[in-house]
Amino acid sequence: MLSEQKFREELQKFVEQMSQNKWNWQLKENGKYARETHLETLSSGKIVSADIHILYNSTYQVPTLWFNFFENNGAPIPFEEVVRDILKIPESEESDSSLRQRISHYEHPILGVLYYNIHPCNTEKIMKELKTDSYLISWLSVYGQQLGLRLPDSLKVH
Amino acid sequence: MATFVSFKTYLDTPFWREVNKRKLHEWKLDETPKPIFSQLSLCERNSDHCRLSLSHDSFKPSNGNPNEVSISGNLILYNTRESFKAAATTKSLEELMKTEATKIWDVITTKTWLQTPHLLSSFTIIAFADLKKFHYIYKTFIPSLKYPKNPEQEIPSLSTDESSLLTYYKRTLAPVFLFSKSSQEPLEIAHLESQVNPDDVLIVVADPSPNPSSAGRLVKNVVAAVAYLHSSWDHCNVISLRSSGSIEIKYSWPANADAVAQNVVPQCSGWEQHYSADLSKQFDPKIMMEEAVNLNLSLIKWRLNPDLKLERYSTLKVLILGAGTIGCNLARGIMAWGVRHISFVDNSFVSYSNPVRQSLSKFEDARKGRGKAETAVDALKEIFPSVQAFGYQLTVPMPGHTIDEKDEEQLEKDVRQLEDLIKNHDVVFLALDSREARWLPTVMASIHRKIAISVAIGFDTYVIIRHGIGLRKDSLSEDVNSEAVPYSQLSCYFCSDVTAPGNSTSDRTLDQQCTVSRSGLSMIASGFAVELLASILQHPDPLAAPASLDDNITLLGAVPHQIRGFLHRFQQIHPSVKRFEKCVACGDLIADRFQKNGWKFVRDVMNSPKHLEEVTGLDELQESVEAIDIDFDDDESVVSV
Amino acid sequence: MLATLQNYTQTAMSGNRGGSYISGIVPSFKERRPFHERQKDVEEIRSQQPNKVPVIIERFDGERSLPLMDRCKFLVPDHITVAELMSIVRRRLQLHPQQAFFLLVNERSMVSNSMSMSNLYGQERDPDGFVYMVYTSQPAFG
Repeated sequence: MLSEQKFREELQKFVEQMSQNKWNWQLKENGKYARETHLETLSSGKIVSADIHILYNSTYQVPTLWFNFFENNGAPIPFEEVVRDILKIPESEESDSSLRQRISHYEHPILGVLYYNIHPCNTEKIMKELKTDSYLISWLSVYGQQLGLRLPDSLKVH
Repeated sequence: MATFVSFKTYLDTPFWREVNKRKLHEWKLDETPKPIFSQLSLCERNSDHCRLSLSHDSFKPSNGNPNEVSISGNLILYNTRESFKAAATTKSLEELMKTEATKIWDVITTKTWLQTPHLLSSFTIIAFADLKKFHYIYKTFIPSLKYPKNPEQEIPSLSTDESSLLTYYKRTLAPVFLFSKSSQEPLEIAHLESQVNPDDVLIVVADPSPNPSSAGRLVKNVVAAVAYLHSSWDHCNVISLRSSGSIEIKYSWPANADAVAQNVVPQCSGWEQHYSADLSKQFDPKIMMEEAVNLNLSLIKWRLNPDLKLERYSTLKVLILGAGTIGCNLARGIMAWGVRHISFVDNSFVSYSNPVRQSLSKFEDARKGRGKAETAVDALKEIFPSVQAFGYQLTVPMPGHTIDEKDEEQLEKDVRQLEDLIKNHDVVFLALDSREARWLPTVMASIHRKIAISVAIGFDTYVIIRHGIGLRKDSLSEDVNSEAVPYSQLSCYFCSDVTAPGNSTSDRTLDQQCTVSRSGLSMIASGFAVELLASILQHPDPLAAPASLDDNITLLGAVPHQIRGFLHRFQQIHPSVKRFEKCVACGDLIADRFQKNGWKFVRDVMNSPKHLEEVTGLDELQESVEAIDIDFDDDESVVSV
Repeated sequence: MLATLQNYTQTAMSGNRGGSYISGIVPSFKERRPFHERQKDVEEIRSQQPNKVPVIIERFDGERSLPLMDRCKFLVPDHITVAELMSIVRRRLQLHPQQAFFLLVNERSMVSNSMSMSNLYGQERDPDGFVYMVYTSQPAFG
């Protein structure tokens, strides 16, 4: 569990560290959340921009990952396509993909637009298991990984 | 030939949302250019363009960071599609291009850029936003001067360590600066003026190009500025500075080959193609609600069972007979499963006692004495505008409610209308307020092979029955001895009794006439009825779903035949009953009569319910048992303890 | 206790207005007679009248509007159908044709009106040898 104050401190550290590692995370709204965007090429050849945010969830007192994908004209990629082509979540019932269980589509608390969100109910349990120097880097290596976010090699956590 | 990577604009939904907000509340009809600001990433890898990205916060400048370079521009938002189109004609585009190019050329010729190098870069977006349909069109222009003409490029390896350049950039965020080879240190670009030899310096430009052998278009204007400043130079050495993987480029051109007069603005390029976006799903509230509702249902599918066939609900047409306590709750329940086509039949009007129990009516409806069917329809549309809801003010013809000859014409119409409604829907819920009202719809639904579900309540009891599908005679070939009673063999609401329904209202006392039931009961009964339907529809062949309590029989589990509840004990049972061949409603003899005589048969039954007992032979059955004695010999009675 | 009982049945029997029930005050047949006595009853009657089926028909304990019957123990010819039994019970209860009810067997099953009493007996008889049924009104409101 992370207090909001601690979260903001960690976030600042995180953004600094990422910056040094040439990964452009930006602090937004006076350090309330952080954002990263980059382009991704889908298997179809289409290039979309990925928009990733780290926000604080005060109910669960942990960070949460919010994300979305857009065509260049600003239209979001449809849910089915996101799940199939970007996150590559298989459709079979037996799939162990707990990610599918936890992705929801909600109004972003700050932007007021529908974004995808990985539900934070499990975060505390997972974070307890990890030894961490940097809370957010460990956290992101778990959650970001499922999104295909590549952590810079120098920062990869075991 | 020197190549420069062109720009591509990347917008996002929050950007357009911000445009909507500002246009509605701030800009309104003002078409003057609005300043916007973009941060270009110096870390971009996955692209063939320089990315100009804009989001909701692009309307004010942001604090830069060492992994980005800032560029400012203007948004010109036209009020009509026509004015946008006028601005997008070749002639207008050229004019705009010229205006912008002139601004940059001025910055170069007046040497202003040496103090404020960011003025070498700018962008303009012309756009139109349709705020009713949420359609957008736009076109971006980033001026890139064609000067000097035909430059060549060479890419030597980096002659200096990029880290000191990056450190300087991090400290100053200067988009263009100098690196002195002699002093091996970075300097402000203003120092360029005093330089004599082009090989003494490197011109460092923060460059969002992702290409390892090409600088971005931003660099072109810098080269133009350098070439103009030092007209004797025929080359310059540029560092295209990126967060990592910077490259060095030597640009060369024929010196003095086109001496340019100060006031002749060079040619310019830089228009992207135009793009449009349809964001009605994101911004049109009605569509947003549809999307949200559909997504919510998809999540059920995703999380519980991907094989769930949700389309079986969204394509279903449901007829609800009776828009009272049960009918209203049924409608809300099925709507939440994605059912979009809901029709109500009710002949009465909202009274003051209704709104607290009938969840689709309100005080105002009672005050105005509105029809129940139309009230329910309006309420559904207020809840979910995309629903297809229909109301019919129709009295269902009932046994025992006698009819005069003068009303026979209307009866014929009513019978036909009811039959048409039943034919045109897939599911019929019988939620009428009396036994006799349920008779005719049962007959019709049976003949037309519809999924008919009776839902009825007492004071503290409820019953939900799914009637057998189709006529009994058509199903006899099926295996009658199997454990699970097949759908075609299931009993209807009337199969368990032996008298005809008749007028239950005429000689009741007041408290017997009012429908009085425990308040939560209708929600309980309706809830179970909705879920029974939901489960039936997940059977591989819904019209053949046998009565079964095996929870593997459908994707949602069991599909009982009857659900009977007794609230005084919070108890529920699930009997399975075969249909009765002498049934006054679903029996073959009745179906026969109705198919032969239609509304006339209905008339006869209305005037004399006994007619049903005659047709089915129940009258003979009753007579035959008159002589039967079932008493025990002894005196056993309740009173003798 | 007897007085209360008599009072109750008077009210219950006086016409079709059922009024309230007080569960537990009117003990059921099973509650009144121990198992061995019931079993003896059945053995006796089955030997005397093997073509009849011993049936206990009582009012469901949650029932509010149907009247009580004067007796609960019955001997039903085994060839008649459930429909015919329904007709007989209706007469006993002096029901208006509009009052619909149904029979619950063993308080959880229902059987088709076409079923014969002998089949019913075979399927649903209690270990003590009787078949237990209750009657209760069919809900009709919407």
